[in-house]
Amino acid sequence: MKDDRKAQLALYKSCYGILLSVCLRYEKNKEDAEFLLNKGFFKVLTKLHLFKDDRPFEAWIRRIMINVIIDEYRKTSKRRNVVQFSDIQSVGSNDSRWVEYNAADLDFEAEELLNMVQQLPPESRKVFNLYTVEGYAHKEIGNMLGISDGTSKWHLSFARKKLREMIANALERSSNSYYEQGK
Amino acid sequence: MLTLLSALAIRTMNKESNVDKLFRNSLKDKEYTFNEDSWESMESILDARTGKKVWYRRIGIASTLLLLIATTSAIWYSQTFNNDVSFQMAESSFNSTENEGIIKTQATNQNDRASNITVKDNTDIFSKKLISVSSKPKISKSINNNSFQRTEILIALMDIKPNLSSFEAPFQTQISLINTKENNPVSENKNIVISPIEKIKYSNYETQDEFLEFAEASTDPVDAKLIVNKRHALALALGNTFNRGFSNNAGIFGHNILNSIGLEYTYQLNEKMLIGSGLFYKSKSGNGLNHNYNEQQYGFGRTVTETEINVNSLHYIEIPLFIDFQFGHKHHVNAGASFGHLTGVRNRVSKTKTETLEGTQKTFTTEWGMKEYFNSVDIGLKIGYEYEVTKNVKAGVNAQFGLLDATDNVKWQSSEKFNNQEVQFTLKYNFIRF
Repeated sequence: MKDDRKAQLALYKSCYGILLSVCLRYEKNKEDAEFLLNKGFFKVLTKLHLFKDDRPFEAWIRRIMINVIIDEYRKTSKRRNVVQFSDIQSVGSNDSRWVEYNAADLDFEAEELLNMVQQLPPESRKVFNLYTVEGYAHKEIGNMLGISDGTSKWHLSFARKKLREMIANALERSSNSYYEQGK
Repeated sequence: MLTLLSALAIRTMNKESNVDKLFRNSLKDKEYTFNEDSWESMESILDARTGKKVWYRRIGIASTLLLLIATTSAIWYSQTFNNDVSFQMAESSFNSTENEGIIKTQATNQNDRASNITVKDNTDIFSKKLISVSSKPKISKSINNNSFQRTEILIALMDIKPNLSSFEAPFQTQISLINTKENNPVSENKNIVISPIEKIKYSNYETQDEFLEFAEASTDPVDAKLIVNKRHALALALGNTFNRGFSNNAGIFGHNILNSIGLEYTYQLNEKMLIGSGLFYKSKSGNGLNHNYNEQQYGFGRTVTETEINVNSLHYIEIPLFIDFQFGHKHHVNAGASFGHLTGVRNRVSKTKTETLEGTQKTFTTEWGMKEYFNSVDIGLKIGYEYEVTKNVKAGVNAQFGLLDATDNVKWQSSEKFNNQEVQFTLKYNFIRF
């Protein structure tokens, strides 16, 4: 496998979709996600001999990918020159337009939701993904990202708030357009 | 507006779980179709990894040729694009002679404004390690669907070494700059993320190269397993001891050999700290400890034998426990305690035999004995400095101060304390890491 380019391509093709779906949730655009994907795939390739048949391959490569993403984040976050969340406000301030809803009733394309997640600030995006999609606990997330449990909770709360706002905005746009069409 | 929103659907449930559920269900299993462009980038990484063997055989002409191409490309890039967006790669990223792999840089500029990419420290980049420089403009779409141009440069570097087994995997890095138009809000201009070039070394798992990567830098459980395996080290340690006073009757300039030899075990706690122990055989001077007595015998005449015993060396089995801090690249300081068990005492025995009929005779011998005159346990504190001569060889000096009286006061009929003190020069060789 190490030098067999055809086999590498075959493996790459089979991993591509899974790994990209992970990376896109953590990165802001597809180019950055693909950049990380390649990093993750390289790791998969170099660690392939350590994979044991008794566990699902997909879960294994997802895990490696997430680890690569977190590693990358930890490395860059130490020296990040400027990362300002100009829109960070107190999480407690509620959007007056916010209404509670049932997820099943909302009809969003996955792409739209992905865009919303990608618009979150990097830290909040990572915490939200790790907690909500990957199912990690705050303590684990804190260890992974080098932050406290409390900070992780704050980021999750902040992410949820921002996502609710984005959903409300999207619904508002949709209703306006419906209203205008009706006219 | 709220009524319209409500009409779209909205019922009261747990807010948080709804957000989570909505996103989890939509995003978790979403998959994407294969993209050929992405594979091209992947291939360049893989090429850099496997291409070493090929380039090793073509160092001469090929590297010169590539050097020219690379220089031309860089000059072309720096002259073609000219505007207010620029970044500089951290010089330090290229200074290391161990740099190898792929350096991927990206400059992103909105609304098709060209990018000016300044690559500093060209001399080092365009060394013999360079294997290729490629670039292509890419039109991408941002989240808000605006097109922007991204110039991607791939610089492939590799270290050409004759020993293929020491190959380290390529690394990638990315620098992204987002520069918004002047009329965009200032707050957006703050969203600049510069990820300095980060060197990522993967250990050569096939050859078990002795590269250490630390758990703090990795959350990968697979990595962690490998890393843990490489934190232990065993060293052969030799020492030459200069005890207190630096000389005695048969001290370092005499017949007394005051050396130590042993095995030292160390465990790397993190990048800067290790703890260690070991098992040493060590001889120490019994400087100034003399024991005299007379014997008288009667035969044809009177024979008087005066015996003077000079304690030559005390021999201990020692177990040190220490902690070692690294400062700078190659300097270490260590401090700890040492627990010793006395195994034997070597003495220089001088006998003067005076016989009434035959006169005086003097003899010198070296003998073991007098162990009962000393305490069997010794505890000392030590501090030291070591310098890494090579990755596996350290030379250093340490001082050890005994906390306990080494002598048995009852036997010596003296309450005077004799604490072992020594200055020791050491040489250590790490012969195995695991």
